[in-house]
Amino acid sequence: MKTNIPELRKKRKLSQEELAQAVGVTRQTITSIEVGKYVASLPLAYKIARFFEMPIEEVFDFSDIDKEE
Amino acid sequence: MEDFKKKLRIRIGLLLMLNGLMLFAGILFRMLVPANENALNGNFVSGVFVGIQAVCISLIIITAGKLRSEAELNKAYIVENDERKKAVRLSAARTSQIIILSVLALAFLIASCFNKTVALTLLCVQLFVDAVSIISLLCHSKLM
Repeated sequence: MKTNIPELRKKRKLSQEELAQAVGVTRQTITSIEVGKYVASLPLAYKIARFFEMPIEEVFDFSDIDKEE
Repeated sequence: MEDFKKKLRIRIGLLLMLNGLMLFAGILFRMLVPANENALNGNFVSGVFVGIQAVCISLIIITAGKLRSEAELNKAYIVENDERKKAVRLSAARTSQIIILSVLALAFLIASCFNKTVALTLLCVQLFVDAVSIISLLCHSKLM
C-alpha cells in the first residue's frame, strides 16, 4: 500500500525515529510502511493519521483496494 | 504502561524462581550423583544448570534496568509491542511449522524403509505436532 508518510514527515521535518516514538512503534515499522512492505493495522493507521492531523485517506492510498472492488 | 511494569515485575519474579530452582537442582544433582561417577556427564549437567542460572541473572539485571529508567521502559514497551515484530514472529512461526511438518513427513517416509521403531517415533512426533496445532487453532478461533 502506498502512503504519503515520507512527504508528510519531510514537510514537518520529522525523522522516522521521531514519528515511530510518537505513534509507539519501532523505526523499522515506519520504514516498512513507507516502502510498502508492511500494511499498518487500523489502530496504527489511525494513530499516524491523528498524529498528522489528517484523515486516514489522505495519509494512506486506498486506490488499490478501490480497484479490487 | 503500568500493566507493562507489572508484567516486567512478574517476569523478574519468574526468573528469580527459575534461578532458585536451577540452584536447588544443581545442588541436588551434585548430592545424588557422586563426583567420580560418570564425571563427564556430571560436569556437563552441572554446566547446564550454571549456564541457565547465568542467563537468568543477566535477564534479571536487564529487566531491572528497564524498570529503573522511564525512557528505557518506554523503549522496551515499544520494542515488545511493535505490531510489525508480532507479524514477523507469526509469519516465521507459520513457515517453521510447515518446514518442520514437511521434514518430519519426509523423514518418516525414509525411515519406514529402514527402521520400524524410528519410523513410528517420527510418526508419533508428527501426530503430536499436528494435534497441538489443531488444538491451538481451535482455542484461538474460539477466543477471536
